[in-house]
Amino acid sequence: MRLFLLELLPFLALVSAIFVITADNPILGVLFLIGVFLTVSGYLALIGLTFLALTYLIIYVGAIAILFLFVVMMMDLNLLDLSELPSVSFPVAAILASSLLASLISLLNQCNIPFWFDSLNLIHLIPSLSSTLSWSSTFHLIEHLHVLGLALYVAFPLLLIIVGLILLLAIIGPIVLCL
Amino acid sequence: MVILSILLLAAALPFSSVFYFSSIVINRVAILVLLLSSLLAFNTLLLEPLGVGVGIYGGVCLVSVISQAFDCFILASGSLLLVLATGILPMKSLYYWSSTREEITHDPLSKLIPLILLLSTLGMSCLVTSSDLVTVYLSIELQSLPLYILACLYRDSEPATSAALKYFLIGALSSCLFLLGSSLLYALSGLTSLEGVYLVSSLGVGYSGFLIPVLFIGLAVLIKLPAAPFHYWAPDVYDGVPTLVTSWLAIMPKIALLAFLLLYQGLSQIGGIVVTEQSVWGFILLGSALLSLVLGALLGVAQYRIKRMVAYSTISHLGFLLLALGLVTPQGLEAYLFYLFQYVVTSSNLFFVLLVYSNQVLETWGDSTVFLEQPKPEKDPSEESYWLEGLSVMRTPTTKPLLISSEYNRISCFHSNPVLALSFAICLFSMAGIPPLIGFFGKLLVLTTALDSGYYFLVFIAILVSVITTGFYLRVIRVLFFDSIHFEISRSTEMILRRAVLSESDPKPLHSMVIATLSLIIILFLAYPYPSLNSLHLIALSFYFW
Repeated sequence: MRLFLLELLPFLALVSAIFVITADNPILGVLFLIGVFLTVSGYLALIGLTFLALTYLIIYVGAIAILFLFVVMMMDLNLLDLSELPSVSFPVAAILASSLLASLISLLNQCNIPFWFDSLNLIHLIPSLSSTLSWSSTFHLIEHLHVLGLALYVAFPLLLIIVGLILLLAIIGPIVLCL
Repeated sequence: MVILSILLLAAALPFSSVFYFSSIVINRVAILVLLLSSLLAFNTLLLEPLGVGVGIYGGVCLVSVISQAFDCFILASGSLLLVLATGILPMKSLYYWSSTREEITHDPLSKLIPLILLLSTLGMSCLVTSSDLVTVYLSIELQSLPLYILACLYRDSEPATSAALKYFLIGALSSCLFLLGSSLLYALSGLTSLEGVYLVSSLGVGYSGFLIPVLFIGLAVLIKLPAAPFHYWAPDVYDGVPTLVTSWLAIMPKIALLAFLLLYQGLSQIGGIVVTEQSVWGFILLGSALLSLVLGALLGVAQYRIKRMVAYSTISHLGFLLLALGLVTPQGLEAYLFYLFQYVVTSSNLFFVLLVYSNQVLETWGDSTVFLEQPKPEKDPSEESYWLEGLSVMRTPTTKPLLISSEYNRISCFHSNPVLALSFAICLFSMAGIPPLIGFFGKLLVLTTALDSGYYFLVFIAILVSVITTGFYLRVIRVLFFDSIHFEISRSTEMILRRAVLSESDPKPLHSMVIATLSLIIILFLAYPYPSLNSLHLIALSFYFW
């Protein structure tokens, strides 16, 4: 089941990423973007990076994507046809995408993984990933969240309080600014 | 104590509409809280047990004599400046002239202001005690976020918002630099504790690599204080935001950041490269001091708006402070502390006087609703300084078509309220450094210690510059006593203004009390200087020779 999910989630992420680009309706696009984040965070949680997964959920899905969604809905871009936009940004997009791809490939090469076009079966990536994490599996009980929680609540409680106060301020601030 | 009271206040605010607390009550409570916590800090200022410092909260904070002293000082001056906040008129009451005094005191906005200021003060007192990069960063953020919020208090006025935005962006830039520096430090040493970093760096491994991040952090702080090469935002921001916020901006973060610079000095001595018997950081401090002195004075002469002038004079004062900090001697530290003390006393007095003046104008405008057909003011109401503009200025810009100077308002400030004008003049003289006042002693201490350390050129420049600054303070005094006030408003409000000037609206009793006390401190410091000087001497000695 876990392996199946590990295979399914990246696939879903890829599909929804494609939909993000191709969707005509910007609201749908943002919804698919949320889908990408959700699946990626599920994937991260499955391979044991729980804190990263939670961060994805809270920050990207909870804050940024919802903000996007609201902005898009407020701006009422429904009628805008994306295909008629001038295609000035394509070269930039191409450069960005190719640089991302290059860095990804170099990263994968560093991980001693065979060039990933060789086999389309994504599951081949997983054992290598889990093998790099194998040392941490000896500390089964101590996960990222445990470690972070220990650090925050035991070692640096003061910092936590200060951050809490900053957040309190972030709640009060908009109230003050909107009064 | 402050945390507890913040939580209590935050909890109490929703009920305030039910139980009908006025904003004045909340403000008084906040003032008392700050005073009490300042007393607490004073109470814990024990030389023997504190010694070189006690790390608390798992070493993220370091309580030492000097940090406690700064804490006490910050809280006390915070409570002093909160007194100002009682006088603030919220924006709404400026727009709708019909709003009564009741509505002003029960405005929800003015209830939140003490809370925000308390949070900011908490950040400052954390900053003073912090000894860990993370704590430092968080407390800098905690102290400056409320200020960003307050800066855009008058969000309907264009200059105020642009100033607030500028302040926010500059703050973000400085935070970025700070984070860059601290992440580099962490990458180099693997530690976030300042002392740990210092120890690692003094091992001699990668010695010069520590220089750059340390400088980044220092520069971030110098940007936050508007020290000279980075001062360009200060006049705009100080001028744009409401005067209450300006007073807070100009005084409170400076104390905290200067205290941090002092505590940071241990780390910043990791010069690596030694330039003329000084570490690189000391060199930068002295250079920044020189630039602040010169630019603050020269550009201040050209200003015609009083808040801009105050901003430049602040920069010039910062020059003196950095000069005292740059000489790394106990005498220098003593001079530094004393200069800071006198700067805070004098400039808070200055802001009190300014605010009382602008309140007078606002109040006289406020009760003149009878004459106004339109409920909207002609211009931007956040500009308390149109009148102050007339005050500070010889050349009121005649390009504006609405300028009138009728004979009704040919009456100088001195005649309208002689005592207030006199205390304003005392403040300005003290800032200029005229001998019997407290400002003179601050400058005297700084300059003599600089002379002792052999910085003849800097001292020469500083003396020249203080003469120039005296020039622009004297200009204000001339306007204050000998010129008549020119109101810059349209003809339709001329009638009102005639009443406005002639009816002397008195400052609030609390304000006038504070102004009187501060002015007396400024004057009578000469009579009994021992307690402050001796305690500062002790603090300076304990910092160096414990």
